[in-house]
Parts: sequence; C-alpha cells; structure tokens
Amino acid sequence: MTFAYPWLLLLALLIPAALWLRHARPRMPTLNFSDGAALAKLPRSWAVRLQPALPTLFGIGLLCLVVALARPQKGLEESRVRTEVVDIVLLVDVSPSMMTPDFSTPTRTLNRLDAVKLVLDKFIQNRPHDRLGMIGFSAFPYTLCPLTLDHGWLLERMRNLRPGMLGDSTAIGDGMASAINRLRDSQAKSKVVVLLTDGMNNFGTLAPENAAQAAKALGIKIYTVGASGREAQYASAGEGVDEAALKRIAESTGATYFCAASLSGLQRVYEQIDRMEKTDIQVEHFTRYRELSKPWIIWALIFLGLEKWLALTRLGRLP
Amino acid sequence: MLAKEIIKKVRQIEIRTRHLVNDVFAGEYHSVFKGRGMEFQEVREYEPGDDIRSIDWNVTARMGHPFIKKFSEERELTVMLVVDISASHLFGSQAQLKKDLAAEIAAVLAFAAIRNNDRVGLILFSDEVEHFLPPKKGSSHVLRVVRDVLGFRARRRGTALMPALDFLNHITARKTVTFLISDFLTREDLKATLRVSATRHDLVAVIAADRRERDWPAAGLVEWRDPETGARQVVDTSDARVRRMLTSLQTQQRADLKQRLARTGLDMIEVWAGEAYDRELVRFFKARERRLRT
Repeated sequence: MTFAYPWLLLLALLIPAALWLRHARPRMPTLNFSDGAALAKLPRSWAVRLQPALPTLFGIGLLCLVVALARPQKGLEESRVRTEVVDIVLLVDVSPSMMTPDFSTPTRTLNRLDAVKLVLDKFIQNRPHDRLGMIGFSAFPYTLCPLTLDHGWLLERMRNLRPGMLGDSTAIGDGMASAINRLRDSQAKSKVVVLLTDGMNNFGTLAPENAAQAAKALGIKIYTVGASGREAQYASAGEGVDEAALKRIAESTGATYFCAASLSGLQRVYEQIDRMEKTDIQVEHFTRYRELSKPWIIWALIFLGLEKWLALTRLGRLP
Repeated sequence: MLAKEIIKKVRQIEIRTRHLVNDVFAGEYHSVFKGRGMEFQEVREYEPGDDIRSIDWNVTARMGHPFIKKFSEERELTVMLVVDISASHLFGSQAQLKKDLAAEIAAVLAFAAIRNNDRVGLILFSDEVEHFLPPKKGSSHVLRVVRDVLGFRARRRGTALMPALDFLNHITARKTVTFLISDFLTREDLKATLRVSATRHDLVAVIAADRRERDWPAAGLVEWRDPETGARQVVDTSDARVRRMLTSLQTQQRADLKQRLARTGLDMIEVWAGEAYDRELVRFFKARERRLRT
C-alpha cells in the first residue's frame, strides 16, 4: 500500500489539538453542586468509567480520516504493458573449460562460469521489466528458464549452472538455434540473444553462421561475448575463442561482438549491452492503481458516528 | 447585579414580605425576642383611669396626692444577621439560588426587626468576614442592609463560620439576637465553633438548602463542579445506586448537622430554595413562644 499524498499524513499531528478542542475537561461547562465532598463519595458507575472511550473513538476516527485523505492505493500490474519491450535470451556456455579460474575479484579468484554468474546477476536485476530467458549449452543446449518475468526464479535456476553439465564439446550453432527457437514467437519490439562462450564451435549439427542467418531472418540480434581470462594466452590453437566467427555472427545480425578478458571487462560488456538494449519505456509507463481509501472512510464514519451516538445517549454529559 | 436591579429587587422583597412581617408573625416576633424587661421612665401625677397598682406610695406620701410610676418596656434589641455568601450558595435547582434565599430571609428578618424598632446589623462572610454593617435603627438603614445582602459579591469562595462568629463576639458588647443564615457546608467542628457565640447571644441557625442537593432526577451523566474548591466530578445520575447513595449521604449529613446544632442549644429554621419559607418562620416563632411561656 502506498499513499498518493503521504505529506497529508502530517495532519495526524493536529489530532491532539482537535481532541483538546472537543474533549479537554477544563474547557467543558459544568454545573455547580454545593457539596463537593459528598460527590467524591459517590460510586463511579460504568458510564463514568467509560468516559475515556469518547475521546479515544474520536481520535481513532480522525486518524482513519487522515489516512483516507492521504489516499492509500495499491499499484496493479504495472509491468504487463512493458513486457513486450525487449526479450532477451542469455545463452551461456557451460563447457568444462568454463571451470578455468582466470577471473578474479580483489579478494578471490573465480572460474569463468562463476564470474559470468556474478555479472549476469546484476544484469538481470537491472532489467526488471523485460522478459528474460536462459539457455545453457555445451554439447547440447538446455533451456534452464524460458522467457519469463519471474526473475527470482531465473536467478535461482542460474545458480544451478555447473561447468560440464551438458557434455564436453561446444555446440555454439545448436545453442543459438535453441535460443532463436525460444524467441521465434515473441511479440517484443526487440529480440536479443546474448551469447557467451569461451571456445569455438566444435560439435553439433548446425553451423553458427547458418544459425546467424536464421536469426537475421527473424529479426533477432545476437550479441556475442568472448570470455577468456588471463590464461587464454596459453591456450593452444583450436581451443581459444574464435573471435572472427563470433564477430561475424554479431555483425550479421546487427549486433556487436565484445571481448572480455577480466571480471571488470565482463561487467563493462554486459553494462554496454544493457545500455544498447535500453528502450524508451517511458511511453508505456503507466500504473493502474486500486484506491483503498474507501474502507478507511467507512471506519472513520463508524468511529465518529459511534462517538457522536454515545455522546448523545448514555455517555453524554450534562451540561 | 446592577444597582438598579438591586433596588428593584429590594422593593420587590419589601412588598412581598410586608404582609408576612406586619400581619403573620408581627406579634410573635415581638414577644419572642423580648428586651431586657421594664425600665423606669418617670413619675407623674395620677390621673383617673390609671392602674392603681402602679401608684408609687413613697412619692404620694411625700407630695400629698397620688403619683404613679411609669415604666416603659425596653426594646433596645440588637438583631445581627450573619449571612454566609460562600460559593456553595450558588446552587439552585428551581426558581432561586440558595444565595437569593439567604438574602430574602435576611431581608424578612431585617424588616421584622425594624418594625419592632430594633437595631439591625449585618455580617457577610465566606471563609473570612467580607462585609460588615454596624447595627442601627431606621428604615433607610434596613434598606441598606437588604441591598447589601442582595448585591454583595463575595471575594472568596470557601466557608468558615469561625472568623465570622469571632468577629461578631468582638463587635457586640451586649447580648444580641443573631440569625446565622448558612448552608452549614463546612468542615469545621460546629459544636466548638458555635458554643461561645451561643452562650453570649441568642443564636438562631437558619439552614438554607435545596431539595435537589439530596434528591436528583435521573438525567444521565452530569459534570458537577464544587464551586468552593473547583473540583470536578462526573456523576452518573441515571444510576439508581448513585442516587440512593447521595440521598442517604445527604440525609445522614443533615441529621448530623441538626443533632449537633441542637446539642449546642441553637434554634433552627430550615428553609428551602424555591419554596415558600413563611410557614417555616411562623412555625419557628410559634415554637419559641410556646417554649418561652412554659
């Protein structure tokens, strides 16, 4: 529950003043009774003991009114309209080479996959209004999470990624095909695949270039990220990132190829993709609110009415 | 009250009480409050028709023809009106406040006194003596007394009989007839307070009260205030238990008061605000006359 005019809640500070005006005893008129000593000896009936109920009801009633005045409301389905802006499939290489510990934070060393997870985590949280999906691949592609707005679940699924879980080789083409397949029916304005790999295509039935053709035909952009840390320089031929191929894939679909050699580099890469895929969602920005003041008003009327009623009947004081 | 209103009220009281004073208990007043007896006035020659019992034989023997002694009744009586004007008299459930009742009783007694050629003095008190008019004769003086008792505004709120009675004892050299008009709502020890004055003076207590002080109607919650202390109290008058309690408390208190006054040897007149008081006055005079005669 949020308030449309939260500053009106400050009016609650005036309630004591209102209570004083209405119920302060020194201000109330009285009747003279000559023998005050006798009065003090009289028993107090329940009606006398209930006297404090009147200012209490009055105060609560006013408080409810103030809350109602501040216009409590609940935002409803604010993201539904924006779901069709960008659909992104994160295609992550989980081949055993991703286990190579060649990324490091200032305090510890991470393997490639953990570094990617770290960066993706932030990336996902930065795009709360887009549908995101995740596919892991090495020898075979595996859809960890289809396109969804439930990013919590997506993050949970991502934690399950382990290097080597899908075989030893790297089938970039098949992975891309799987990602394209996920995006085929999407109605989003912009369809994006972010492909991250640390190797070259050495398995699978579909060549990456063909997959890129298909992506282009469907209007899907494929950003490619070559992730290889400082150990990549020792890699023998045929094992490192096939930069030329990745660049070709990216450019043929109208996207960009990035090379990330360190954790901060990787972060910058995803930030860059994030920025490039920012769409102007201001246009679609509207929230449907459900107004919640009605029950408050009703309660206020009940309390104030009850106070008035009691004050005019059994709890009413003369004069 | 404005001066004009007070004068109007004085006139009203004068007119209203004229009948009461002149006809209803004129005789009783006269005989109940006797002076100190007969006083020798002069010796004059006997005239036919004079009571032969009053012939002064000594003078007659010396002069050769009869002389009689003439006496006059002494009525150099002083009536002091000691009136309580404390704030507790600002209570009245019907036509009249207790304060007005006290003033009216004082006025009636003052008129009655002046008609019998007595001197009237006035003491107004709350918890101290607020106002004092020395005893004097004359109808203009009595009007002043009535005006003051009606229009005087008390400076203080509490009630204390002691200072007023002390003051009375100080200013009076001789025995007076003193009417103490009050509601006797005080915490003083009445017996000790009144004893000295009661022996020195012919002290009559006039108890001013209101029926509603002991008997409330059911009227829901009422916020009462003790005018003397300013203490507030919300009381549920719709609760039968509360009302019963009040009645028994007040009845008890009144019985107590009367007993205590009686033990001090005071005569009492009970008057109620908003009700006719002439019958009470007459009954008092009758009872007192009866007692004097026996």
